[in-house]
Amino acid sequence: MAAAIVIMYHFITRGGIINGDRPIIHLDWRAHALRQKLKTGDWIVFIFILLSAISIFLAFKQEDTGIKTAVIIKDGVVIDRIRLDKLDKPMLFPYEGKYPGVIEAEPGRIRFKEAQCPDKVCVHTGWLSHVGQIAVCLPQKMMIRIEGTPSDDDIDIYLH
Amino acid sequence: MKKLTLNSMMISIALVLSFMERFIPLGLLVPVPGIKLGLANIVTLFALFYLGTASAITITVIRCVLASLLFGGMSSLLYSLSGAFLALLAMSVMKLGYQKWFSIIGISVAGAAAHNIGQILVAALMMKNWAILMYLPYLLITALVTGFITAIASSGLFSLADHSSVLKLKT
Repeated sequence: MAAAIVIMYHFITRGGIINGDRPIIHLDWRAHALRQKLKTGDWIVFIFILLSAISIFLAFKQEDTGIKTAVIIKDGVVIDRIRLDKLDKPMLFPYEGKYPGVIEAEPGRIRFKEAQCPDKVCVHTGWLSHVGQIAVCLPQKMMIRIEGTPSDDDIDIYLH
Repeated sequence: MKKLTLNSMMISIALVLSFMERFIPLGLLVPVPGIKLGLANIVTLFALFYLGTASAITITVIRCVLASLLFGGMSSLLYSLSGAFLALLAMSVMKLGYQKWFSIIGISVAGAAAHNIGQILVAALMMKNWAILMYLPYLLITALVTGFITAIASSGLFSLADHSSVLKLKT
């Protein structure tokens, strides 16, 4: 390990392994790596990727409407809808499955509080508080998404 | 025989790289599922240019299977295989215009982007929900950066290979 670090250090700082004045391996890879000339096609690739990233971002962007419904989806099926803007106290929603965990909802926001899945990306995503945001746990096939529409349970309230 | 040895060496190097990148917590910086440096792409690029497309496909498939058996779990095999295949397709098509239209940087970046697109499409199919595609912009921007890093590493590797007489660039 230490030897590997020494070799890497020599390669990065001197462009080779040099013993005193005598080069053992001396290939200036840095010169080669940095001499890469960008061609026309490269710029087309970069611009294409940037433009598609921006357009997909704009396509998924949603305005906050004041209504915030957290939708919990498991395996493509909606299993729960929580009105985050009407919530007045924190709530915990434990879930079972291959990789169990706990979803925590507070007034205006929601997150994966803890999870047993291997990568924990869902927990690292943190709090969701804006319409359109999602948090995903791929191993558990579970997803939280915030929608700007009222949940099904509230429809009767609006009819009165 | 030489080809078999080289291919197996490439597979083991790719495996070590995909093991090592698990310790680089890129997921903390960009909390998107499946985000990683893609260091194994260095090996795929090298194989594509110095060992030929057939070798590159073999190395990539065996690397994906072994990596998911050893440290990923079988569900990760689908993500990595679909991503790797799309990346290979993009890179081997672009290789036709190597040094004329594309440098190694453009090829590597396109490969990284294709990998991420393949991965997220499979993720959307598995989750049965297209909302996950909202992560695609973040993945694409990350691919620009990681593709650039792997390209610099690969071109260093290419210059090393050009100095040795073992391998010749195949275009």
